[in-house]
Amino acid sequence: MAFDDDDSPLAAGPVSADGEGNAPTAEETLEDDMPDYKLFASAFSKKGVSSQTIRKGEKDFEAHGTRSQDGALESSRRALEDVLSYTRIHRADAWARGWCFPDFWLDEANEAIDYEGMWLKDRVVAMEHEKGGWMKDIGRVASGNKDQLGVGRLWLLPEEAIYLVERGTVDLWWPYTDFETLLPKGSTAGGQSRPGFGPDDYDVGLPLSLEAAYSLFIGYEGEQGKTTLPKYQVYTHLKRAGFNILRAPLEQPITESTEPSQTLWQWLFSFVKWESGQDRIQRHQPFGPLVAPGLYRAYRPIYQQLALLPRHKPLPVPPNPSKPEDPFRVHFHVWKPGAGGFSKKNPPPPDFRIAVADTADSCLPTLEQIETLLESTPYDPAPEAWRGQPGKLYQRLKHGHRNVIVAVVDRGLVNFMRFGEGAFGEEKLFERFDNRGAGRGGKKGGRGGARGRGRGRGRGRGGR
Amino acid sequence: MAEMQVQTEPPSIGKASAELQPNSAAPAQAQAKPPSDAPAPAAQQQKRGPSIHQIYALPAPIRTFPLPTFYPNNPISLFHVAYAWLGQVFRPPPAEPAVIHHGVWSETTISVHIKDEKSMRALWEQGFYGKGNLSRSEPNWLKREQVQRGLQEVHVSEIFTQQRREERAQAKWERARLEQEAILRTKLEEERLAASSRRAEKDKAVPDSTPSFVAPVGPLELLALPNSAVIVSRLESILTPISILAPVGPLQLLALPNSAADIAKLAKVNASKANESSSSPHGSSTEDSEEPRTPITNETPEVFRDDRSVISSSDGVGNKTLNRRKSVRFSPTVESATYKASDPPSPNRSPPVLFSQPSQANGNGNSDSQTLPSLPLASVPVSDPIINKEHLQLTPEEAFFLSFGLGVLEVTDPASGRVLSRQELFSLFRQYSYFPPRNGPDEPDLEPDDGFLVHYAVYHHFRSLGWVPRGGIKFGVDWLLYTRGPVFDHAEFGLIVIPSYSDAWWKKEGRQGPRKPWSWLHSVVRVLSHVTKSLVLIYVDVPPPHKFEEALKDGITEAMKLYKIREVMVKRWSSNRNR
Repeated sequence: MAFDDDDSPLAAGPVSADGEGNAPTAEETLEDDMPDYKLFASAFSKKGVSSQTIRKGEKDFEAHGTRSQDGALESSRRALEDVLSYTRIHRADAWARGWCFPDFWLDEANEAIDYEGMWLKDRVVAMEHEKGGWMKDIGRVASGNKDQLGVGRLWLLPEEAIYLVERGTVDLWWPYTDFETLLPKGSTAGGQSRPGFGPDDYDVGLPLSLEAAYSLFIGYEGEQGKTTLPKYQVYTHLKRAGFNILRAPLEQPITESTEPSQTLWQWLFSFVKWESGQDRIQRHQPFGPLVAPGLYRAYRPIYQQLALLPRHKPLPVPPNPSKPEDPFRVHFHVWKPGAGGFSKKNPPPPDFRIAVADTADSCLPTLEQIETLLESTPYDPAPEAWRGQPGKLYQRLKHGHRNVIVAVVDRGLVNFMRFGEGAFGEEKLFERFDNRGAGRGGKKGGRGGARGRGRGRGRGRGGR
Repeated sequence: MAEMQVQTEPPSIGKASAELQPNSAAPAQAQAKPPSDAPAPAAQQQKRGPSIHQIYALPAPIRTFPLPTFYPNNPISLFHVAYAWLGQVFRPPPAEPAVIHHGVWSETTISVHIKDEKSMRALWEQGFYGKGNLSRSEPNWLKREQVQRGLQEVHVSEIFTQQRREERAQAKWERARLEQEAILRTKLEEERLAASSRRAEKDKAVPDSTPSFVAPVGPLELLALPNSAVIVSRLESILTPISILAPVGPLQLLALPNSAADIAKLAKVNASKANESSSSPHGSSTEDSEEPRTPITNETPEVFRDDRSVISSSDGVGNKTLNRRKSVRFSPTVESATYKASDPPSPNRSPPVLFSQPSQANGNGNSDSQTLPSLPLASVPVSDPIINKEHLQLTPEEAFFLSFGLGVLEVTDPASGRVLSRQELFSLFRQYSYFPPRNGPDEPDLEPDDGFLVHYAVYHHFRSLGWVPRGGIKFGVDWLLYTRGPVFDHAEFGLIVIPSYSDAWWKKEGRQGPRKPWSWLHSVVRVLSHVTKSLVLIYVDVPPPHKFEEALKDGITEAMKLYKIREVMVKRWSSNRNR
């Protein structure tokens, strides 16, 4: 047994390797930043490049002079070259043009059609016509009176516009004429290029480069119609990983706790607890010892006397939440790609909530910052199935009662940290002491961390 | 100790060469350390003593007297309960805590020393308090010493760690050896294929290829010969004395070049030459006599440059410096007397002798313990009894919790020999949490955010919930959190304490908590995730001084109640693994 974990427990295999508590292994973390050529390679199957040729497994640190090694290296290089030298083709019928109108929604009084989560004032690019499947979570169609200009068209946020330009999906144009001429009312569905407005007609506007798109849409915090570089980087990082991502609405409705109010029994019980708590406090010696000398039949009263510092009790509705401020504010809502039923109009509750922090101008959040950030997210305790199970102790604790992800952008590199509202006070470990040793084999070693929790809590595991 | 062995098994072997492992590991171990390996398992099985669940039965240094369980279906148990109860009524056990341990404040180490052996054991076994000053954590110096002298054969964790490290190092070498063997096998295979294709080629065009060469004479030259016209030109200067000579035997022909691409590889693989030529039907008659003399040790291409030295050292000791790379030599014949510490072991040697050198150089403290298993026990003379020179060190937080929380410790001041009261202890620990200690009359006042108070708040918080916090400097954190203790489980959480100043008074003062950069957080999380622990940030909300001083008048209890603790669980989130 390793006292104080002198040796890497990795050597002993995963300690609690299931679900939430899964620690990343070295290989996994390495894989994070490697491009997945397997996907590409499958597209090249006709050239005889199988996914095996691109080795992601063991590393060779030196040439050992076998021909098989040289061969493997060579084929891997070739696969990479094939991927990189792939000719991308833009088909004329898939051509889509977006017109840059940064001030369009600012000018008019559009409060009526700009609702929460719509971000209409920030939408800066109007799509002439659109094709493809990328609209699942990108752009919103301005709704409202059909006679109004711009209504009925797909409008993009700055980060969405840059992303699409970067992908080569959208051709971004700067208009030379007014909106009405370019995108007349009602002709949204057409999509066929009108004469005089084709891809080669530079009288009506000018195609913009990617550089131009960046300079138009990347700005400082709080600028209307722009996004910051770190936020854009987080956006593309997640988009490329396949997530569905939307800007989080500013005022997030704190969902009222759906849990029923306390039952009479719970109420009575809490009253009793409070009573005993009062007693306990009165018994405390001002200068210790906290544990009064005497005869004890169990450890529970001893530890109850030791309770001194107030313990955090996570509440479904925080008593007085304050307004989160940048950078510790949820900026993106993110959904897993596989989940069905996603619609950008009526998005389901997000899978992840992400705040964006830049390493240059932020550091580890203070207690208030992290507290307000966490309180701006809904109450999300560990699943019901984990409750009361001694074996799920670590998982419950790690899950926390609220959680939020902070994307930390270090000069373009995006890293994510998950912060969870911990509540060790909810897990009274000492309650297990009194059942220890009763009816237990006592033969097993100390792995797993969740043994010997006795009968007090673990009802499902008979005999332990 | 069953878990012991689970840990010792290096998992990487299976990964690296899963199919090779089962048949090779066992003999390798057997041949690796024949003298030392035998006693170790024997010692493990011989004497086990009480189980850890008996030794560490008490979670705190306070005993409880639970009444026996009453089973309704077993009326006799009622008598049992009654008997126990009556026994306790008539002969009541002493009020707990029955034993008050004595400690001595040590100014130089800012810790409390427990010198009484019983107290040392008690505090370690009942809640894992303190650390032996000569041990890693459990105060077992005496035991270790006795085991070393062969007086006792028990399990000592430090010695086991040492053994485990050796085993692991050996397993790594074993793995390297297997890898090397696999590479060699591939080479041989490729060699064989190349040879057969060469032969086919040569059969077609023998007159063209050979005349340009003057064939070498001796069999050694044959082995060292390059195989292509490209390299030959480069090597001609070296080979001149030989190349003038006429080709004598048919063996030269075999070694003659045939493809330009193969040369570099073939040159490295002269170890395999013997097999190659023996496999060829042409030279089988003479080859038998040549085989034992092949200098297989030289595996680098540089061989060709000192061709002559190879020839002269035909006795087989053509040993050269091979430190450049992590490789293993496989020579059935070559035995060199001198080895550097960094030299890889050959499979036929006993590695422990070689290994112990570098690890002793590491200054591991108990370096002499590793030679221990090979010590013949009988040869050690039973000398005079060893005096226990170890004491238990308690950190201020531990000592104060034992004294203020549980009331099982009293601390004396070594200068006056007086027992310090809890208030005195409290301010003493606070004073010494600054550097230099604020114990003089001119020193600034103590503050409510001094290191001791903030850490004690955290320590008390987790102790009072039943966790076992221990110092976590090894892992770059403030505390490690064990559910039962280091004997039973690995710590799952590493805690970092961050004082926080949310009160309006502090805001007015402009006091802020530490501003740690993100890179710091990432490095902590990275280190902890490597040892499968997760980080918990512990924010301690510090009360303003006036409130704290006010409360302190009503007792330490009231003052400590002003500290608020918030735990924030931190984990790295990967977009790739959450899709």
